[in-house]
Amino acid sequence: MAVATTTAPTASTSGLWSWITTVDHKRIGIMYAVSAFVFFLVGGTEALLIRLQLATPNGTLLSADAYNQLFTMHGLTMVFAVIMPIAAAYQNYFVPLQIGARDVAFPRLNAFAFWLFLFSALFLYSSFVVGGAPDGAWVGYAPLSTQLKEFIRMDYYAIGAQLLGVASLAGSVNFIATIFTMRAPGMTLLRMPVFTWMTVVTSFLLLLSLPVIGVGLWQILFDRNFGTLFYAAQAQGDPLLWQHLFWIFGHPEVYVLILPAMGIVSEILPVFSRKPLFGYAFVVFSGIAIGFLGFGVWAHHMFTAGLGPVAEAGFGLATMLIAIPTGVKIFNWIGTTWGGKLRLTTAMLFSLGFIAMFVIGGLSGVTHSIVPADTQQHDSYYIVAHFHYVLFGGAVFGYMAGIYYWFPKWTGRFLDEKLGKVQFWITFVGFNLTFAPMHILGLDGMPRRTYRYPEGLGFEFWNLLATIGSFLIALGVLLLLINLVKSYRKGAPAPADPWDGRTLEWTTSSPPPVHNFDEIPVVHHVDDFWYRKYGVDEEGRAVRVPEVTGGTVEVEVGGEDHGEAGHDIHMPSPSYFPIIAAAGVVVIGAGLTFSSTPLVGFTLLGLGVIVTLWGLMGWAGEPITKEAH
Amino acid sequence: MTVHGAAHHPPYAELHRFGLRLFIASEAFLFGVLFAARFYLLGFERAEAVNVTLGVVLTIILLTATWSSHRAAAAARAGDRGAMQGQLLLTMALGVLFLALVVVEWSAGFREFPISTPYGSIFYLITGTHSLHLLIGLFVLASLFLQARRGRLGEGDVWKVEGGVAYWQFVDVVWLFVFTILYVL
Amino acid sequence: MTTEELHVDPAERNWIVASIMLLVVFGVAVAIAGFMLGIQVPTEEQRVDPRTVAQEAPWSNPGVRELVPGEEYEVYILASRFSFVPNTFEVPVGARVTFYVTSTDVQHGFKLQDTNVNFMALPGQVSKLTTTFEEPGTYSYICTEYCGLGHAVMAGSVTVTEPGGNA
Repeated sequence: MAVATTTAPTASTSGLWSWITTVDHKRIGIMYAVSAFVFFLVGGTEALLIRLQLATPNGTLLSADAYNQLFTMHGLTMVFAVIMPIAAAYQNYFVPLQIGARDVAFPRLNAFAFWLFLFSALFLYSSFVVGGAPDGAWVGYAPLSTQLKEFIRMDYYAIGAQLLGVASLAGSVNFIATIFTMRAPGMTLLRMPVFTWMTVVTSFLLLLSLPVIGVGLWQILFDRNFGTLFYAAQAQGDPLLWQHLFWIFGHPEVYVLILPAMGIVSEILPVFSRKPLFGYAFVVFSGIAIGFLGFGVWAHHMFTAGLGPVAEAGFGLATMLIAIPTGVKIFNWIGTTWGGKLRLTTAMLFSLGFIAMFVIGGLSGVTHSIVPADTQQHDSYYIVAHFHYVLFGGAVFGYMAGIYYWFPKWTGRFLDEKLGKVQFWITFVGFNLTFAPMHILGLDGMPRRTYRYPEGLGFEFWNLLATIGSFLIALGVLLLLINLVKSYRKGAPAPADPWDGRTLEWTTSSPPPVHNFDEIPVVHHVDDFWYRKYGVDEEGRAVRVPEVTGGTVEVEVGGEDHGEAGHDIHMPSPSYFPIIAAAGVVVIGAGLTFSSTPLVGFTLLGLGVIVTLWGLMGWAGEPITKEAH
Repeated sequence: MTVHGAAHHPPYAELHRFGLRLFIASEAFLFGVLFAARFYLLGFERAEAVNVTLGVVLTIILLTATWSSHRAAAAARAGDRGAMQGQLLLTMALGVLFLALVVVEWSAGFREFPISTPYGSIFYLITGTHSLHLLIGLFVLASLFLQARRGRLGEGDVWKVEGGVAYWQFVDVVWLFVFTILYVL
Repeated sequence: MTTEELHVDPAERNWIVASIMLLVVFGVAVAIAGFMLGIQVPTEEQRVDPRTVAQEAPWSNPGVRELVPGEEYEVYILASRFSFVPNTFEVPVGARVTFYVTSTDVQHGFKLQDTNVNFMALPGQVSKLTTTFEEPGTYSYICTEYCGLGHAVMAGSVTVTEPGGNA
């Protein structure tokens, strides 16, 4: 019954206003993706400037002040404005499709979360023209962050990060509610795709860790502008308190960054190996274990802070422990591809690259867990190498794999595979050329967060190599951008199920209709779609079920919503209150950012409260679905 | 069996109850961190000048408000719009009284234990955060009250009242912890 | 088909058991190293007031204290934006040297290049670490915790002398 169409317009779904008021999870997902990509280019440019400055000793391209702002914003951008929103993009678009739902649990909250993210990120960037961007590093250690008083850069930090956190919190409430209450009939938790599982785990991590940094950031703002003494060592305050609060959030945060990418890879590998995921349950339970354990390792970021041998031994062991579920996943991915019929599409290349690069990054991470070794590694480029291997070679590669895998579903067109493979190899070589030397630089003693290094210490060659590599990465990203633009307009048309997939999103058209499924399927297995297409013959090989033709599938109906597509299905109505409320919240944030100038601060605060109330009251008062009989 | 209406999700009541519980769990962590910070920085120290009597009065006010909010939700379930509006109004009035007394307490407090002292820092942050949540609760209750007055709350909207009341009662429970941790211990 | 039961592949189970056993071995090793062999990690020694620490002993007179000639030394170092005081000093090779480092303003680090000494210097707390230089020569120490504009140039050097007083 599913019919492949090009971008399917329904009533009042074209034009800017339709995007501003949309509550459709698919459109929100696209907006997240586009925003994340734009910020990826911005954050990448910041990285290139950093690399140009560090290409030679005693570089003169950037002043220390400019450099400090750039590396701080590079970190904040990549974490909060690139990786988190791209994960949100995928989660928004695909979780409802994968669980056989028509939308998320709270569509307007979903829209609110997106607009809040976008406005907050833009607000953070506005700092560049209001006295300068935050320059206290993305970790904003106190008391530097509470004492830096040129302009209001670190107030932008405290509020910008706070707002972005609230946006993510809204998103995570939505996903947990959706996944627990809106699955198709027959889809028990252990039949959900791994990507959906990872979404629910990361949502719980965010739900519980964001309040911690929320408090920490408030305390920074208050120490800066209202005279409190939370981090003030001279008066019973404690700089270490900030480090604890930051990392109790910060460590689960890195699992939030990587688990969705692991979920994506766990989907791609089976499809392109024509084998089911090896040890599905273990991959799922390992994800859950990583989530739990992720809350117990935070102080491994503080091994040089003098916590004492007992605490440090405990956290060191817990950090080693977390390598076990991670290893389980890796072995299961390898087990999936082992003996499979591999198709080396670009998505598959990025997924295999993910495994390899993540293993390297994970191994250097395990070396950090050894406390005495870490005291030599801490704050050196060795750490920079580690986290770029897991965050770029890991997370970014995984999300790039997702682009190639799911682009046909979003747009009804394929990305150019030839160009894609070239893009992969250039990115792969460039990435390794950039970050592998940093292991050596770190062990040779080059410290991080320094805007220049002197001659004669042996840092020149590896830094130059890293800079060359970074420009190769830039070329790779440019090729991706070209591929995206080109293929969106002129790519080869893609059917509903271009890869012979296993999960439910491939049962709808490419792109899906606004209501996702004409009829909600009933699910009997994990990888249910695969089992509708294939039985097994006497030798246990997969055999295409005869009555299936051309990629369309007879879907068993869940007993609800018969009838022609769209007629009896009420989708949530568009609304302009989420964007209003989001704007109001950001204006409140702006007011707080300017709290050192009371007149400006109070005015903005008042304005923001009014706008937020307008948005929220309107939101509460309007019906969820405007009846249109 | 064919079912019309928005497809394949549980009734809005269940959905929103679930979502609210998640949100409250997150908020509980927020206050938990604040309380942990109090002990981390100060142990069991407390400023002498904290007005415990006023704290008790505030506690009584909120306990009464919990009771009246409970009556409001019960009235909503019973379909008694008038009683519900009345109880909501009473709850809001108590909330406003609470905030007014907080303002009084702070004015005295700024002299006795200013914000630039260790205890002051944590006291104003915790009570301030709580009061902010209470203020938001007042807006939630006001919104429900106004919707009821305009006749927009029907039988199918009882969950909205229950949700608003649940949030209000959460804020009341948080106060009990705030009182214990800042005034008593 | 019906719901799947949890099927544990033997290879998977063996791997997990082996990993957990490895972890037990590591745990025991850490306990032995930490508590029986006394392997050092930097610890917090005491609390001070960063606003007045530079005016009070012993940091009013930072530098090297010789406790037992050739064998026991203490070095008191103050870190601030953007220098170490002292930013150069001498100790003999083979002696036990205990560093006491604190900050007068924001977080700093203290890392002796080409050694395993690296710890934070935080205002309000004194970081203490004991080490022995095995080789004579000149070692630089740098700030490793980002502390602002001058972070990259915050450094000092220690000259480790031969027994008998020659570098």
